[in-house]
Amino acid sequence: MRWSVSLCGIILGLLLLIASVMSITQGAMALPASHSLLSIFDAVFNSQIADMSDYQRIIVLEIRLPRLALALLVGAILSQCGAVMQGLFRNPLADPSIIGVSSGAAVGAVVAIVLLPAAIIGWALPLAAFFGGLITTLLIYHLARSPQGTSVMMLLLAGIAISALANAIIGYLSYFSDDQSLRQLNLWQMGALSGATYSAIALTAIVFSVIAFVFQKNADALNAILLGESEARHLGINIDRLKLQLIVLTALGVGVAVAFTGIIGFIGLVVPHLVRISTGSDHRTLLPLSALCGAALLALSDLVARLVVSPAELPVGLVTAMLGAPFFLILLIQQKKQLH
Amino acid sequence: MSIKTCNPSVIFTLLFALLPLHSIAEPQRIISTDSSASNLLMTLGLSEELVAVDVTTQLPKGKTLANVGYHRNLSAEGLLSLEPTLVVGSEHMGPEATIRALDQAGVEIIQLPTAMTTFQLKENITQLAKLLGAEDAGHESILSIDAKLNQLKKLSIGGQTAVFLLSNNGNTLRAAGTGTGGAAFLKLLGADSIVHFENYRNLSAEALLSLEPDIIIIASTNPNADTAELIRNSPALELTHAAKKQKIIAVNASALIAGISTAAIDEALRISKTLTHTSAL
Repeated sequence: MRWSVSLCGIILGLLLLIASVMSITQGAMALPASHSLLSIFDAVFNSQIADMSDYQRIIVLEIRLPRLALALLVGAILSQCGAVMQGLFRNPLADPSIIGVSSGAAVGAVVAIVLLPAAIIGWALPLAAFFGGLITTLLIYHLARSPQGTSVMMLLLAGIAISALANAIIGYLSYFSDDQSLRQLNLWQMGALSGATYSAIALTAIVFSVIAFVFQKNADALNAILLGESEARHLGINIDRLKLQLIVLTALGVGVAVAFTGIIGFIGLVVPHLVRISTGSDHRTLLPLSALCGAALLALSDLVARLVVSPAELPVGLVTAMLGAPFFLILLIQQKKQLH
Repeated sequence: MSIKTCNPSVIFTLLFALLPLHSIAEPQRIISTDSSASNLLMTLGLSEELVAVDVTTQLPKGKTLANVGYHRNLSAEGLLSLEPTLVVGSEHMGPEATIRALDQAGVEIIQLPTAMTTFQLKENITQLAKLLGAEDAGHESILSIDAKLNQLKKLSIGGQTAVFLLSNNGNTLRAAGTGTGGAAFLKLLGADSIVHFENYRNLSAEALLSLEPDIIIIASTNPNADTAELIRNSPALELTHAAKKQKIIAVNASALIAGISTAAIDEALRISKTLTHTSAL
């Protein structure tokens, strides 16, 4: 079932709009829907149209809106990075964590939680997670480099090895941590969008713009790589430079995302597949559509996470896993049918 | 001016002006994010004003309240949707963003330090009672705690060594070291803890046997399990010194989840009585 690109774009755009509106108007607290939306208009244009108490306005502008913004940006980053990793490694099971960013970030997080004093955790944790992810990725890249170029196979294997090492370190530090640190780490690893501050959103927005721009510029090259590496080289593409560029940008994007939200899985894996099934693998359209779809999906997952056990809240990583895993199974079963 | 011609609302206003302020305060809407805070609020007779509790709180049978989840992962909007006037919890409440949102919304937040000693427990009761205008109930509660502690001292099993194990599943023996709720419980009983490492650590069966504790206390989901049943669940305990003397006892795990609480003191009393009874046999 192939849709035209513009149809897919329109549908995803609408989905994004619906997800955004619902995220602003729905929540644990019952607020008047139209006035919630109008208060955003007020905040931007300095008007006084909406009829809401200060208290209600705080809920919309300081709690729901930042969460929505972070969800949209992180969803877009994760799905674009997923699409790029799948294209680069020519592997449908690739997701951003294949280059070790997630496990590296988790090591950074566990070091911050267990070894650093609680007073500085606020800013130390995202910083440690970010550098953990970046250093791990660079280490893996360095391991896979050779005078003949960067082998994709070596990248995959190095990723597995370093992830195993990272998990061992996390396990060791967890064993010697106290109850409180263990629980904090556990929560962090399940992902949450509650740490959305306007500075986090600004940083994430800048990072997203940079990586989206560069990825889109390299869309043709990514298409060429689908043919095979030698073929792409013969077409004049500098494969090694491209690999380095894409891997570093993915590490940057995912590192920033993980630093602010913990580990949110399945978006990077599942969204590019969804788009490919509808409109094919042409990266020139795959990348922007993945961004739209990822943003909408994460916003909807966050909405579910906030509403399903209200007044408590589920970690958003759990919701994406619960939605993503069955989807993945269905995908596998479909693939199996197609092969026969 | 006779009473009959006085404007009734004026009389009302005068009456209200004369009553002490806290007894006509609007009923509070209190959210408790910690099982020890819930315990304290119920002890102080404020259970009617409780509107929501956290996931670790055990409410008395028949009472159901909204559940706000885990205290380190509170949802700002979720809490505010319950329209609380006060949120009580421990110093571990979080995340930061939620605390800030509650502050901005003008909700009072009381964070009591985790009570690992009876002294801190009594301090918490006094502080909470003062802040909520329930000094009488607070005072009574402290007297009752002191009475129970005296009883405990008389039944003292002092001088005996003990170990506190966290679970009763198979042969995984997780012992409570220093700084844990389990160790605080042993101190309450007056027993000497036989392990000196920090936090909870796994002990091998061999290590436990070599340490030879006189008493083994296990946090079990079934607080009424007798020694035979506890040994059945964890066969490694069979060869211990304590097993032969029938001094392996189950304690209600939920009473100790947040350090020393009045429920923990009641459990300590129950166990002391069982132990002195067993010794006398």
